[in-house]
Amino acid sequence: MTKPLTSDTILLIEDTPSLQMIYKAALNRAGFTVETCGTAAEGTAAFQRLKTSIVLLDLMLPDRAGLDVMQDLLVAEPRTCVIVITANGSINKAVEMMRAGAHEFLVKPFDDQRLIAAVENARKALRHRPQPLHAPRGEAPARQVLPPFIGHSEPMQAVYEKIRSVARSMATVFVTGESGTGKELCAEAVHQASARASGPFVALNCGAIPVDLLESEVFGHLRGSFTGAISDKLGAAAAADGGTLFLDEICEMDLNLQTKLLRFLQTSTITPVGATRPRKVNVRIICATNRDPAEEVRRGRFREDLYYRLHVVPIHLPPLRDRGDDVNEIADALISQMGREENHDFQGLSPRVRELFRALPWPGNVRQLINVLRNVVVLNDGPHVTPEMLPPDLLAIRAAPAPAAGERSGLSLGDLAGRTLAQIERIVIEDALARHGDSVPKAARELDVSASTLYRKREAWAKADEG
Amino acid sequence: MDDWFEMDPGRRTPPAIDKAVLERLFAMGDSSLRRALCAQLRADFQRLHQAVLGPDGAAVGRAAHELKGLAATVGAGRLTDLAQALDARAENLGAAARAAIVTPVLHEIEAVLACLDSAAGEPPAA
Repeated sequence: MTKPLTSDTILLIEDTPSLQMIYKAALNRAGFTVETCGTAAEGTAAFQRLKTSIVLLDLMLPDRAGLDVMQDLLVAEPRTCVIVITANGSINKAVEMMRAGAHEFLVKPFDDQRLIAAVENARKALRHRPQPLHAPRGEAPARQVLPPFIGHSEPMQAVYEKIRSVARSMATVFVTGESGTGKELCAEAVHQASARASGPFVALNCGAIPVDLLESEVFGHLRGSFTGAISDKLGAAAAADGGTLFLDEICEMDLNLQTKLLRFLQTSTITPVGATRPRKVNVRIICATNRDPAEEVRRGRFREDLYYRLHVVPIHLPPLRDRGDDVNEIADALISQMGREENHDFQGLSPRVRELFRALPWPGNVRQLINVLRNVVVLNDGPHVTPEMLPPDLLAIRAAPAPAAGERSGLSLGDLAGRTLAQIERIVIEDALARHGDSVPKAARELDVSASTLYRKREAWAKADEG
Repeated sequence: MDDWFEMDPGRRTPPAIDKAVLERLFAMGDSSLRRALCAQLRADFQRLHQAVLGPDGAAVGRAAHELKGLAATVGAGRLTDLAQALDARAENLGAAARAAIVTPVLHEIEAVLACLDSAAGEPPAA
């Protein structure tokens, strides 16, 4: 049995006494000192007392969800390596945990060797993990990660710092960035680092909800207030009372509803559809868009007064292609875990894939990377991801970079002369759809709009064509 | 004594606990670990036996989830599967439908407890 790298105590938070005994025996035999706790409260207190750098944490505790405990531990000491233990081995749970900052994810049952290996890996990671931001005077602070994000790149350091700063205030945050860069993750990180973390976090995608229903989704409605309102409905704003309301794709919001949102921001009151009396709510607003909000204001699609009300602290998330080696760091964090879940032995990326990943444009950003990795893990066996395992369309992106504006398909400016702006918009969208085999998400990505926008426009054109 | 986990050797039922898994756990310590772990496992399985009989579907689900992890760790494969089925469905079933899933779980816990009693008295493997 290998000796531990250091003699730090390991904190084990597990509510089943037999399992506590088994894990402790295994770790003791390997030379580790273990402190055991059976509840979240005991575990949190022991963590504060012992300042342990490695925590083995069961996800289902009697007094609190393990995920919440982990987030508290990581806020208190971001360098902590939390090894999550669970009997729920779904890949979604694993990804959720890793994104939330878990170092590793052990699915019961696991043997003593697997347990010791996880602890040894954590010890090795701690050796290379950057020091806290409070570096000695005169020294530059080391690079750090803000869970649930992954990645130490320079552009993300600025994002982490801004999230930490803004979390302490009540200021409205406006998150921008391409699709798949993690705007909701950013909103959750602000919420989790804020004093409202124990309150609700409610996310609403304005682009995914039909315009007619959006007001009811945001502000709620009373029974009978419109056809189909068969019962009272609590809107997202009321559901987020005491916490944070995240409005994604805010630029998709109808201008009339923008007026109501502005009133809500000014008065902190909501009036559900059909109600006569407003209700006071205490909500922090974070909103996001993958468009340029200032441009939307210039085009008259977004209220200027609302823009200034929302655009208090902007946070721009860089695209994955601008994040240096983060792409490989994220892939490393996910690939072995996905492999375990799929019973395929994956240990990492080959050097050629690392190089390729750094060079790819990743138009779908982290979301695209996750999908690529899942595709690889499901269809192949490890131990290393090689270029041959990658989806062919991913390699095609590299082989054929996106054409510059004006070079696309057969369209030329001459074709557009004399047409209205609405007609030109339709021509451009239909051209993009045709080139992407009628794939709305792909066309939307190229045009840098949400897919729901394209769906709505197609629906409107179909109605107009019928009429 | 190879068959001390065999509840009824004549019927060739698979053992309630995989002996190899349990022996590996015991081997992590001295004889005191064997005694202490058997006693603790017994207490935990008895506690969970009571817990899955409760009236609250959500609480039964949580107990089944704990039972699944514990059973899997000690090599009680059949109990793991039964607990997993209960874990997946306990919250959404009425009392009567839940009882139909709980009953085989209870029987299997009893089989596991009997195996543990045998294991507690067994001398350590050479």
